[in-house]
Amino acid sequence: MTISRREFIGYSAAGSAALSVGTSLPQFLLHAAETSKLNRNERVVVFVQMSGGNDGLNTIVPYKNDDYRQHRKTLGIPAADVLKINNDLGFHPSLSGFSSLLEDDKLAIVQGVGYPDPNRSHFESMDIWHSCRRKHERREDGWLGRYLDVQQEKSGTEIPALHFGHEKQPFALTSTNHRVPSVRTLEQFRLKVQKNDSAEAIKSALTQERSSNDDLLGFVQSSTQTAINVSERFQKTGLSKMGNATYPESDLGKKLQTVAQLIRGGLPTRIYYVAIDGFDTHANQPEVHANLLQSVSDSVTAFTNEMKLLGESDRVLTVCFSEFGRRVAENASDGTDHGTAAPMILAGGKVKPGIIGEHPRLDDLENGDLKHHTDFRQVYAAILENWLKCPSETILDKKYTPVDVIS
Amino acid sequence: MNNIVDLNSIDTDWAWARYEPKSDSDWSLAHAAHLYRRAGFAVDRETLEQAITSKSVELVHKLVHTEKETASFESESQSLADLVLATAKVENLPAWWTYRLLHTGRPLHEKMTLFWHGHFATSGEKVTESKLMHEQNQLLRKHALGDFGVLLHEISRDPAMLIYLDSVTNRKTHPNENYAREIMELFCLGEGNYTENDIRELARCFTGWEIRRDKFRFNRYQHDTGKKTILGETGEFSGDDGVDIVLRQKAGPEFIVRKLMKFFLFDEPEPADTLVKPLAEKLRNDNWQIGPTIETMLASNLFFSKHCMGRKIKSPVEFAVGFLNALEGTTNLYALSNGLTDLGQVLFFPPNVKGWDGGRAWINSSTLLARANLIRSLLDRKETRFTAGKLSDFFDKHNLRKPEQIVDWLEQTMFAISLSDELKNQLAREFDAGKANREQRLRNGLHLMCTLPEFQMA
Amino acid sequence: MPRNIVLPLLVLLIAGFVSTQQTFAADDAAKLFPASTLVYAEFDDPPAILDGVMKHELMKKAYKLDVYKKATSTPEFAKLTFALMFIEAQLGMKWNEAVKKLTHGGIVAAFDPATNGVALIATAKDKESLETITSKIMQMARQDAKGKGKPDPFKESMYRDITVYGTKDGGGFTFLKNHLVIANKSELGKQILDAWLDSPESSLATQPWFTEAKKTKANNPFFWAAFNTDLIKQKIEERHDNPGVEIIGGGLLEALKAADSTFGTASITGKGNQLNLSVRVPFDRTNVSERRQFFFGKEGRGGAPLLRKVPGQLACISAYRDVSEMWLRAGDLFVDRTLDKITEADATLTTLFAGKDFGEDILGQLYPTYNIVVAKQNFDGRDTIPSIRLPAFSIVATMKDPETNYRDFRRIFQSLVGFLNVAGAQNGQPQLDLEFDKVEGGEMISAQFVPEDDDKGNENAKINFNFSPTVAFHDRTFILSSTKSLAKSIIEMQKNPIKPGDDGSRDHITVNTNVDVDAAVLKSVLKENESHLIAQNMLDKGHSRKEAEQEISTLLDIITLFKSLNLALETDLSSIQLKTTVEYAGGDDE
Repeated sequence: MTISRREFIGYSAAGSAALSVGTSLPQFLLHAAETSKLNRNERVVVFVQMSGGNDGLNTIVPYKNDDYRQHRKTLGIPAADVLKINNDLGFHPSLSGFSSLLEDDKLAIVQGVGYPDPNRSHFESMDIWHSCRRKHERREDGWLGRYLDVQQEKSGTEIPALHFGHEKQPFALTSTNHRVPSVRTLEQFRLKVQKNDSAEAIKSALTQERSSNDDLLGFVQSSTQTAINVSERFQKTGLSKMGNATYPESDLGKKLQTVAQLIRGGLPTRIYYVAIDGFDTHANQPEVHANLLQSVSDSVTAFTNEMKLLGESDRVLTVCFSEFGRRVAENASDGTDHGTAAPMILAGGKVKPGIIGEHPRLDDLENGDLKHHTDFRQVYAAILENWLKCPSETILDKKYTPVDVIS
Repeated sequence: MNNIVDLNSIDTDWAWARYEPKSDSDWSLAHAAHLYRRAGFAVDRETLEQAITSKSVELVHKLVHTEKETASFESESQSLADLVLATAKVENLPAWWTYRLLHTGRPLHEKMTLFWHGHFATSGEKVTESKLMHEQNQLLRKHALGDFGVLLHEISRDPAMLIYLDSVTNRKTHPNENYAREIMELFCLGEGNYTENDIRELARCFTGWEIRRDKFRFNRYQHDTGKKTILGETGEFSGDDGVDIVLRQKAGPEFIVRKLMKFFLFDEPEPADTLVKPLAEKLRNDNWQIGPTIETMLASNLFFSKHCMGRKIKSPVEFAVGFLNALEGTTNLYALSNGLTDLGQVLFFPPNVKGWDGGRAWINSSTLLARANLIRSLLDRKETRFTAGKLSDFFDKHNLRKPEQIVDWLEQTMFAISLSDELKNQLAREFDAGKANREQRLRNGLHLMCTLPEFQMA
Repeated sequence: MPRNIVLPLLVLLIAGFVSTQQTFAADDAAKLFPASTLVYAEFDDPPAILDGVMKHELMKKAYKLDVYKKATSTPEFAKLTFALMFIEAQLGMKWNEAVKKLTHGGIVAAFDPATNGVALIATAKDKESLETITSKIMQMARQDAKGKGKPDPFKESMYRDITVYGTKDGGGFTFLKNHLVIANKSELGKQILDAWLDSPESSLATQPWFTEAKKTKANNPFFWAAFNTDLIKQKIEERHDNPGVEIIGGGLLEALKAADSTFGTASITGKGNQLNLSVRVPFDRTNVSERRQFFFGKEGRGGAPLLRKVPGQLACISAYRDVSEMWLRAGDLFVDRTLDKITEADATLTTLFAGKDFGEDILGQLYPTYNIVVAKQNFDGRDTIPSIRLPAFSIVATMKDPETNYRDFRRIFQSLVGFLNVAGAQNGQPQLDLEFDKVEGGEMISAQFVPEDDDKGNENAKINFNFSPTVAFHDRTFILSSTKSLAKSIIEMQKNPIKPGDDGSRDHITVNTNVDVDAAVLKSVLKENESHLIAQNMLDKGHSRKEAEQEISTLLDIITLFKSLNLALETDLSSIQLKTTVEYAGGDDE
């Protein structure tokens, strides 16, 4: 209530040209101020979904394990090639980026993540990861969607979450009260005009006195103002070139580069979601898997390093996951089939660096698959409780002990 | 600070009584435009001017009782459907429906078809078969203002619906509760008006209802013939019996009327029980005939009062189709219908089983920019024509030369909320600003007006 | 196609059918254009072209078209005719006479990127006719402006003692003896006047690329143009991201990027019923980079096979492309992002092809000479007829090891059909049924869609029913076809192959790619789908049914004016040429 006009302008248009508020209406000012709490200390999570089922066993490699050698006669990564983490485990040789992040204490690997009674269908398993619910349960929203609903009672005017990509919006972001934008390009977030001063004209039209002081109209008016401001901010961040950070040419690299631009531009979005597809390596795994891992590792590393350069490292967390791992035994066509437990990889300034949990045993399999020892919801619980500072029980339907991955 | 009028204090008899304008100011272009925006997808100026020469009651009666489209319209619609179905791409269906929305002679029926589409939400994303989505759409249209009971029975065996709800098989050993749950929670009663046990028992009625090769089939070997107790009634109920039991509940008409009120009257606040009850009673007495209830609603004092006028946020479809209808516009319909993705509403692709929430949920930074950009892209598109010509020709045709005249005319034709004089002065200046040619300046000015918050309101 | 561009289009096209004789050498014009000129073009004898167009048989045919009749019966057209009559009265001569006099000595044009300007010089019959005609036109324009209360459209000024008329868009024109000089940028106009007065040492005429280009001009084309390739060369990246562009035009990229390429030329000639447009770039095919050998073959002699001909043929493409080599050499041709996708695709394809390496074991088993045949389908007598009726198409190639390849391809095809059936069943698609047919000297294996009960006798069936995927083997020939009947036609026609044409005089020419399109078949394919084209037009353009019908019938009408289109990419000892030949329908066809 005590917020001054100057403060409001500072908030909603941070960095953009000051808004000339003419005969403004108090209630929309208030409204906009409430819904655009641009706190630069807000924590951010970036999800990198590795679609198709990532072969965890060849990502974090138990290179000394005899069973591993036995099961992976042709696909096994030679001990000499792995980037050693410790005496038992090493990174796939394409993961030099992750390896450097680990040395920099900015990477955590949570081993053996899965869920009970694993489903091996891509869609079903992905839905389980997204909704935290099984098929027979009611699944109308995703876990991140529920987080958004818990966080903001009313549908706000800002953008609490963003999905970047051409694919269908991940179910995880489906919420009851929020429509998370799926953004294909930053271009989409620009107010398109034919005349350079059109944006100014709109802004000025927005500050004219209204003939009605209806609450609903006020809501649309303040939302429009925010939209124009956000658009300008996007444009500014979009136009400014990156610093020294170089991202790989891959789609994922470009997406994360855009995310970095937006964070740098001060967008008050807390959840970013990107995906990389192709991990379903039933055949010809070595080359394909190496390329994909390299894309993930190089992109996430470039992103994390840029956050460090920007001094944002401590408020940005990146989480890489896949709907399942792959079978322990390789198949006959140089590939692997759908499996179960796999590692999740988290990067950022505030992760508890290193390996978390044991590597699932290779001499104690269930139908030829690894047994999980950590439920993915324990990782979600850690992200919700320890990172986003939000109670997790209603979101995850149950109390899960958070994995100790955030410091 | 705000003017949310206390709807609870409204006299219910007055609210639903017929609106009888006493003076010209009670029956103006604004009133007619309000009616056509809500009961359809807006209309051109000529229709509006024609409208105020009739009585509101007559107009509403005509909207409700136009029984048929013209034969030539149906044949055009059919040839477009043939093409769209031949491509077998469900993504092409929205263009077909958009054509109907722009050229229909029964706007209220199309509007109600859209209402039922959101109510019985089924998405082409999952169903993928355009033929099934098209058939469901025709089913909704057929019963749009008809008997809700018949519609509910038919939708219960609609292939697209059952595919969407993962209910293509339903065996007695494992009754599929999905449809039973939706029919009570979302389609007819609303939460709190049934128990989990009712769902389980109703699900048993639907056992043996299957979809095979895109068609409904009753598999009598899989039907549970035993006794069921649903919502207090006990018997060896079939699926149709189950639907009838649901239809007999008192909560049903109230649930539907409430939803219709939100669709036709105002986004906020929640309609008070006292307002809902008389109409719900009427709907029940009419044996679920929807038409009379809609007619009462649209011809009422409440509908033409300040509680309703300008008190809804336009849905993206209303926004885009209404823009074209008001300006007698035509454009690339694929681009238009798919352009609504970023606005948050694509026909045939509702976001989930609950359909579109409407109201404030339409609005956020991203969708607002998308609204502004959609108008811009329509104006920039070479296919976009206004009465088969340029915007300048269109305004010339209406004898609109001066910016002030244009702003006034657009306000009357397209805006649910009047604009302040100060704002109108600024807008008029914008219509004359810049170095571009007249056509461009007019388009820029129109774009600016469509970006205003007032233009988002219905 | 909108009606209003039909006539200009016709004029342009017919212009090409007219044989011309050179009456004017515009070499001097090149001395007036700046050294930075990028594109230079000349029309040698516009009066002859105009005469030819007006009297041409195609124009007579066009007059008979409904489109033309409708277009000329509109009030707009009447207005236009009236305006024209008025102008003619003022000029005291027919409009075409006026145009002829103005352009008697030819037209030259130039685009100069330094000023971003385009200039045009027309040489009139004599100074007098130039002055009378232009002054009258200017007078009319001034009166018109005055009548409408608009300012003088031509601003007179002096530049170095020459009167110059400026227009409001920043351009202007002037008269130099019997030449009319028009430029859209005053800067370029000034440079031309300077050159006229000063005869500078450096101009377009002194540019080595231009003098070289000029030397290659032959055959009295009625239109000839030359362009400098420096800018294009800079634009072409070493590696790009589009495999489609590479496979179609990789060879042209190679030629334009070649270090010694400095210019290209384009010319239009006409002869009888044909119009030829040829674009030519100097090129040494024996010196092609290794990565583009897949396109030209060893020593640049990789030649396309002869075009095939089957009944109802819509088009045939024939080309030399070592696609296997291109696939394996992708690393030299494409950027990393594209390579990642190719790697992914390679893995998927290899899985699909039962573990066979796609580049080596599949593509590598075929000689790099391909035909693609497209033909209209005959749906008569079929039980299930698709609503949208697509033409059939086939890829025809030659196997390196027929015995092994036959077994491999046959097996792969069967397992693919099995795979499609499983996937199709999940998506509610009709199932495929395998059929094996022995034909003389070969075998066909095809997969027919099985109609569901309600598809029997359906004339609006799904698009699937356009296809009966087929592989066929005939001697060394391998055919992959969208329908069985097209595969069969190709095998049948194989028995009496087309004899090579009279190519004796062109033995140093290698045809790399050849495309032939038959307009009559194209029309009948479109005609068969007319109702869908109309519906599509309504949805695409928001047209009313009437407008849509009009537009589609115009399109069909225009196609009837033509007989065929041929595109050929050829190399000889010193150049690479892209030749386009349009043949219009002869008068006795209808």
